[in-house]
Amino acid sequence: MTRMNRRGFIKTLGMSGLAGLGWRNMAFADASDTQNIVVVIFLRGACDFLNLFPPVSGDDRSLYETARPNLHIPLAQTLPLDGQFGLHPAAAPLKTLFDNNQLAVVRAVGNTVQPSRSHFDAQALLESGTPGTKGTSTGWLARYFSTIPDLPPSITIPSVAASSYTPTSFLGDPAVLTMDDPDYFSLDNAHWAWDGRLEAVLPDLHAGDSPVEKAGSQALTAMQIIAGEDFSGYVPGGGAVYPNGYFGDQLKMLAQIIKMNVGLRMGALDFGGWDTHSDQGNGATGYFSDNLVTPLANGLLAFLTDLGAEGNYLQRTTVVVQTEFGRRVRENADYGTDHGYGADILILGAASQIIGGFHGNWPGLASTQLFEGMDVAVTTDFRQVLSEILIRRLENPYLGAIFPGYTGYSPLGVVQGTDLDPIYDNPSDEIFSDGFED
Amino acid sequence: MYLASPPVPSPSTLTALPPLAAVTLSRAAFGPAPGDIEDFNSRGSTDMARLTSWVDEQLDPQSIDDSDLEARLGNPAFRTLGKSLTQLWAEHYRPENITWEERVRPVYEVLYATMTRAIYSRRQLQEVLVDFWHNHFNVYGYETPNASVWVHYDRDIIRPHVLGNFRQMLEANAKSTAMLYYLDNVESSDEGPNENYARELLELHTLGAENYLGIMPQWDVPLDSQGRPIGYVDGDVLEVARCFTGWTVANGHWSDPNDPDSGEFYYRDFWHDRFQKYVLGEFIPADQAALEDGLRVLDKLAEHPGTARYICRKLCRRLVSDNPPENLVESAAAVFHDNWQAPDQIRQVVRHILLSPEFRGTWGAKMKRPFETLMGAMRVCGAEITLHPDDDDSQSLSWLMEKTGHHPFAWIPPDGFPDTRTTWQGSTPMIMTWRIINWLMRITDNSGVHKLDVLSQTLNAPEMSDPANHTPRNLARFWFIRALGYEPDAAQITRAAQMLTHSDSYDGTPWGLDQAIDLSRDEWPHYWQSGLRTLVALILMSPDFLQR
Repeated sequence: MTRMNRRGFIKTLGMSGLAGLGWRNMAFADASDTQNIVVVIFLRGACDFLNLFPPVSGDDRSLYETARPNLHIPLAQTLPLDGQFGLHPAAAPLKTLFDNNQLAVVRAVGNTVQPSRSHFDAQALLESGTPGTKGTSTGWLARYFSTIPDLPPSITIPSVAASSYTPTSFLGDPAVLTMDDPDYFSLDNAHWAWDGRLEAVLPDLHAGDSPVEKAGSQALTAMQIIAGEDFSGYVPGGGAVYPNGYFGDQLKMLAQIIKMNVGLRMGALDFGGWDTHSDQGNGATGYFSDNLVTPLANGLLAFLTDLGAEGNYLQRTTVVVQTEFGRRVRENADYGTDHGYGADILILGAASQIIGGFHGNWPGLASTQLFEGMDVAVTTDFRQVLSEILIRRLENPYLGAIFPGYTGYSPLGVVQGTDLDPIYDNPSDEIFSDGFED
Repeated sequence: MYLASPPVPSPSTLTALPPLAAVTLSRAAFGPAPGDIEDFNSRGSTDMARLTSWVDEQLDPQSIDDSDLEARLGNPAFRTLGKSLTQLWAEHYRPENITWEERVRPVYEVLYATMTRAIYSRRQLQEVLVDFWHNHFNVYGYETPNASVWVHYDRDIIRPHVLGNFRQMLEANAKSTAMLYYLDNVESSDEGPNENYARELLELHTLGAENYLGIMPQWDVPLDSQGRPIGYVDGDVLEVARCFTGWTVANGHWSDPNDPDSGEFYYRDFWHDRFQKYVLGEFIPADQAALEDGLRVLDKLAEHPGTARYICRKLCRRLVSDNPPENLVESAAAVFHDNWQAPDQIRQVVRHILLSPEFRGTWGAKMKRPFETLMGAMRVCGAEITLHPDDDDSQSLSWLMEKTGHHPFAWIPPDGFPDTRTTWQGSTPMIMTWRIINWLMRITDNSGVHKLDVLSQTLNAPEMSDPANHTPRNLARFWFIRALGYEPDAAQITRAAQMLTHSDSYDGTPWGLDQAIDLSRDEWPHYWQSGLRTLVALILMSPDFLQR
């Protein structure tokens, strides 16, 4: 089989229509790649950020303890950060990153257009990047790629969803590689003596230009690229130790893909299980601590350590951690927390690129300060944070295409980079059609 | 390492519109089993006569002898499929000293029974619709208590209604143990109403997001010519939630000494919000009789033309194309709405869609999802495979199918598995599906016979009785026709046949495309029998087989 470039391949098949719109070409990228990378980690189920970064002083401390008589993190166990908020004791690796200026936390972020306490709605609204419109057929990461249609042919894997199927954020990106287990990302065989022949002939059967043939070619090309890598023998750099389990495995796989120099621009990764309606535990014990916070914190530290051990990978990579909404301030009768509203976004990367510490306006926990008297309010539109990443880290000002309808952007100051004037125009609907439907 | 200028892809050679037998069996069934194409074609002298005969027989599933399937489901390993809801609750959910395997046994039995039905049932349209309605009323099956009572959800809630009346199906669903737990209505009381079920009832089960008007006062919603609000707003969700307070499950709740803890639907009157409600343009007075305001909501939703359009669009998407023609959606919706109280409402709607010109005239506008591809692969190969929870190969298949992303009852959010190509054309669903096809070609029974015995299927076919016919080209043509129900482009047959011109262990002169191979042997250097199996795997991985 002749090897071919995935993005270029797609482009040849009809995605090149944007070239005529005069959008800028992206700078070249190959083994000497200097382009930046964004990795979006989605904590599915709604993370209880109030227990991850509990208030440690002022009125909010007593309001927090009153609302959570059983679930609050005791002060004696809370790791100190800035005097206003502390850190869950199982998240010690995040304190290292916080103190190193490698972690920015934007508090009270969310969907300001259409608040929803339904996981399904809230995730879709955030991942589509159209917080007021349900049923958008493309995701914000996919539309990011539609603004840079002329990626050079050397880029073979511009986008990866570390998942078994395409998340909403990538819907409509025809080149996204969805892969969660490289060890199984191959055809195996019906009989060893015919293995190579089947793989040699199958691409010929998928050589045509219909959608299913293109999907087949895509999968085969991706498989060839992945087959050339030794995933199971990978040794993380800098002595990084990834946590056992799905999240650690996916992070490690993304780190390796970044180091493959295949032109990765966007990675998406899911971490599920955050819907802690009952028995979430308190302090340094229990489900939230052991199954969620511990792997999250250890995984993030391992990922940044691994990328920082050689080359410029860490300088080029920005990690965004988000969730669909926060959890109810008051604990429920089942030692858990129900669906809330305001959440946090974490931004992580190299100390030289991150403006560390807490950001955003903390709205407070008094009942008059809470959304509908129950939930942490939202003071920052999630698009403001993501737009800053797009502009300052990816040099991409096409906010109108990526977040249609969003205006009035100004940087919060969570990452270093050059400010560009946002372009709010939303180009032809052509780019919003999904890739194979040309 | 990679080509700087990728080659321009060739124009597709996929057939524009295959014979109607192939269209029908690929979209209203899980693909043609041996003999199905011939059966379809024997049903009349015109396409329309044949299609009408097939559709009308399938729409009367009890008229179809399914004794082969019933014998397979009679395997003693299926020991929970006959249990009542109260038995399932008492024997698989309530006991504290049973293993997790025993707790979730019912959902795994339904999983393997579902696959067995997809492969072997002659009531194929019914099985396609069961899959559709399971996804429409999606519940994640692999957590308790739903895993423990899954037999009830599948057998008593979904299956009896797939060709029946939507309003009755909706009520059965609203009262089902699985849905009450999955969308939290089990906890919903006047003191702590839970809007989860109410929201999905409107957004996913009836009117659909397409009829959601967002944040707007209820009284500002425009009315249609019959005086109905044209859609719903957030206020309707909250009012509907109040209507369903007290609809719960008898689970031995501490607050209720009368609760029998049977696992069945239970109306707890003192949890019900008794005051007046305003739903979709209508006041429901306070102090209605038990269940009455919830039932009134179901009536209004089932009667609403927006529900008809939303459900029919989904049915057309499943049976015709990812983006079904609007005129077909509208005409089907008229049948749905006009017959909303008819006991055979859904049967009439499905008949309308399947006998429409759009059904007959559309091809390739859908991609098979992994489950459809794999069940279809087993059908076309005449698989002899026994699936149940105690069988190793069955467990492997379940585990591998999880990796495709399309494992029955495993979709966690309430919207059901996506039914359009955009989700399934990703690399992982494709590669894992292909990997499973290779695995299926390898597995054997205890005596070493392949469960997909394509060798015997070939040798027993009359047109293959002469060994001189066993050329790569003839074998590829034979298996393409078996898999697709029609003969594809000659160039595609030639491409596939090229596979047999070398094995990895043979580096001599290439074998000719029209040179007979010796199917009595499976040894170095040619391994011809294994070569045939790999050729069939290749054909099942072809784009021709993956579209519908």
